[in-house]
Amino acid sequence: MRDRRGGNDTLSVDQVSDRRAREAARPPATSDSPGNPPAAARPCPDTVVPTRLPALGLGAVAAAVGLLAVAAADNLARTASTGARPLFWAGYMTIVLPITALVLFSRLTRRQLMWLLLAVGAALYLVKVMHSPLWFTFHDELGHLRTAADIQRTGHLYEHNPILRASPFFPALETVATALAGLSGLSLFVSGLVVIGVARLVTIVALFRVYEFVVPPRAAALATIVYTSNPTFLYFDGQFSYESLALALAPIVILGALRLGPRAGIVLGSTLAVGAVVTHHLTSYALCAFLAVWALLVVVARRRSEEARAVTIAAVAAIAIAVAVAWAALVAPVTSGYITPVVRNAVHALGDVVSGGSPVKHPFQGAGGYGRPAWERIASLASVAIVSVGVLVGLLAAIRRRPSALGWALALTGAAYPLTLLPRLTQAGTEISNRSSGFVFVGVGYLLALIVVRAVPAPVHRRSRHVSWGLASLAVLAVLFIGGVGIGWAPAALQPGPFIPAANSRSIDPLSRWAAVWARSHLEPGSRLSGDVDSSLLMAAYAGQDPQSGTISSIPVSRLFTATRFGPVERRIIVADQLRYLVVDRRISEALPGIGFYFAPGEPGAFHHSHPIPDAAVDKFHRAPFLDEVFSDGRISIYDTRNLLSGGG
Amino acid sequence: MTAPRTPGGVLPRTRSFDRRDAADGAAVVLAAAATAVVLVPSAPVWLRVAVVVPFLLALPGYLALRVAGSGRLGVEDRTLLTVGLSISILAIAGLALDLLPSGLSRGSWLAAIDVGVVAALVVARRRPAAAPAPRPVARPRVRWATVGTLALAGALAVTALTVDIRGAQAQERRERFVEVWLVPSGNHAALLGIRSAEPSVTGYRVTLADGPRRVRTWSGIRLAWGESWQVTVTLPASVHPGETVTARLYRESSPGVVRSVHFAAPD
Repeated sequence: MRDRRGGNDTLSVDQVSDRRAREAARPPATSDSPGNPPAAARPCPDTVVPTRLPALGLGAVAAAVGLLAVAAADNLARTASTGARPLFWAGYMTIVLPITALVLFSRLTRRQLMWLLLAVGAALYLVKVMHSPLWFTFHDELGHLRTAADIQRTGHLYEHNPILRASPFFPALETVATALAGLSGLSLFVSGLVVIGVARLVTIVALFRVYEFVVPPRAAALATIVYTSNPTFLYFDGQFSYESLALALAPIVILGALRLGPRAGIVLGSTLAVGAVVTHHLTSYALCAFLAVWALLVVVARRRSEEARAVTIAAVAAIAIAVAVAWAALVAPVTSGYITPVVRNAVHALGDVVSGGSPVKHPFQGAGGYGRPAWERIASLASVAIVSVGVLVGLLAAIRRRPSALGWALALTGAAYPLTLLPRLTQAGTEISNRSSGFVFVGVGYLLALIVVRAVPAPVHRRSRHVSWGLASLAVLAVLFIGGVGIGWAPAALQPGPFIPAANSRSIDPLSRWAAVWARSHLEPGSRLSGDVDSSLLMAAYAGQDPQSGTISSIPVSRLFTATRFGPVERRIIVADQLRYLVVDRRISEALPGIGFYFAPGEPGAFHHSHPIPDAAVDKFHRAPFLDEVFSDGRISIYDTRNLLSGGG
Repeated sequence: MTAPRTPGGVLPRTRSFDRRDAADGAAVVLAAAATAVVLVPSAPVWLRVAVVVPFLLALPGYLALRVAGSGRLGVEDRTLLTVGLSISILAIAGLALDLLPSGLSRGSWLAAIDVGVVAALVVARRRPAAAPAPRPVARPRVRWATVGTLALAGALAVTALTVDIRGAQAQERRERFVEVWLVPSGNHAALLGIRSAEPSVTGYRVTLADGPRRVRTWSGIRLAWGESWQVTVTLPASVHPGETVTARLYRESSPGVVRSVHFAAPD
């Protein structure tokens, strides 16, 4: 039998029997749009005469026009010109909405759907590339750049990384990127862009294929589009980071368990799972949990069509869990020290809020006065409300469908969304809530797609009431896209622009980068140094230095840069922490920090600064005894403390 | 109607077997080509990229599917599994290469993948031939409207990237500054240098002074954007340990000090 619903030339046995079982369980077939024959009698999508419009071409042109608008918007933002933000949103909507409309309103073959998804995925990745087309500027990118540079320099893994302590122990991304760079002659930056670009496209298509096993192609495409609206998709999961690569591998593991024979499924599925384990901790843990739940549901559901897969799924799940546990215990014990404090702080903060000990975090609390326009905040709140309600309604729709075990696993994943909102009540938990969306939205996409296809069945006739439902769905998806970006990324960093101190990508400018490049060739690598958060980041990433922050002898290291005099306490900090260099960026005295702190989240006054660092604090080093000012560009100076460390002062 | 057999009773090679042979041959050619372009220093970067990307991100996965026996897979699934397995295999191979003294070097990658190609094909071709794959579905007719609009989309996307990159490069050049450094280097020596980020060619003058006594002056240093100048200076014996050595930067067009750096002479 030839049926494109599973997406291949022939259906696998479980797909055939599963479809028969679903149809048998359904009430007598009804048409899902007026005037159409019932689903069972209707030709399969790929044999239907496709829409006369060159849908793929039109979608791609719309996406490209959107890219052009985003490029123009970014250039306006670089010169702090007006109109940058509205043009950015216009471009962003032009990328996603026309393609979504084509999926909603046209009768497309599954190949057309897949190519449209590739177009939107590629375009959204290029939005991220165009944000910083010359070098990496995001915090985690610089952390991984350090790991990759260490591999290039030493030829070996597991070198200490002061930016991302866990990164060297999950080296898949850097391994692939350095292999590509080493063999092709490309720079690490371009190699990283290529690897993540491939990962992005793979993620899109792999998710589409996984969804196709539980819903028809059109719904699968809509589910994938909903996934791309999650807060981390545009920038966080498009950056040169291990999570971006792992998110590509995870759905392929699921696909392998579904499509390969028993022996190949276990061998190759396990290979993919091991690849995911050595790529990223959280994604592999989420994958293990999903596989375990899926395997359990297969056993509990006892569907004949799925029993053939049960052994494969269970075996891959068991191997993935065993490897993940072994890896964390034997190779990457740093993982627990990296993740546990974040979770612990979030739990304690949430407990304080619940007990009334702390107030609820003000939403959209813009640090440094870099807030979000009111309409963006409204869109973000609306997107949360829409997804929360949609998940519940979608869950009911899923229950009515009596999905397969995979469908149930996706539904349960999506149903976890409301729980991920709780940490947002605290400052400490915001990051957890943000990061979980990349995983939870795999299920959210499935649940919301169930609602949309029920409200807007294809084909949509011009005069039918489904047109208004379709337009409403389009509006809702627009809110999801805008709101998602609003939740997932700081407003000041949404586009490039003039320098802002301690504002992640907005603090990575030619001055700070040139200073770091200079340090690479003139300072001893691996030296301990201190500076503001982004100077330290660049010194670690480009110059191989070892930045220090936190406290030493119960004194915050940041006091070095906030005290207006260079006195005994400051000398004691340098000696006790063995700081060889100080990186002083005078621009921290010109504006408030974009992310709420200049040096570390725990610094005095973090997230509550009302005034920039005083001028006297950053100027004191020029006259301080026993400090050598070995580098200056007028705004950034680097001081050598060797005289202090050798006993002077 | 059954397929005709040879007198020995063996099924004649069908078109599907030829396709698999062709794919295996292409894998060998790709591995050889990648090895060649990597080892030839004069190979252009575009050629290296064109060969190395599939060498790394497709070949390992293809071989894994060949060895394990993937069964019947559609184009999309095969592509996804090929890329995913390639990434996973590279990651795992990297863990193994790390144990070798040579580590993750260019030579070790080439050797590992080339050996892997040979070993995988030897294993794969020993396996009994699978049943012929079903005939592919007739491909849809090429529609010129689609081709035209796709070409337009590609041109627009390239334009967008170009516009954006030019804007980023312009932002780079908008920052006007000049770096100066004076770093102790070895015994009684120092590295003295400047690097310009001025938009046009600018003339500089640098002086190196120990206390009130001027030691040396360098003038007529003309630097364009991004260019640097550096000298190694041997400090005279008259400079005592702990005495401040100061470098001052001037623009030739004005007498005022633009920038100064200093260090205390080492012991």
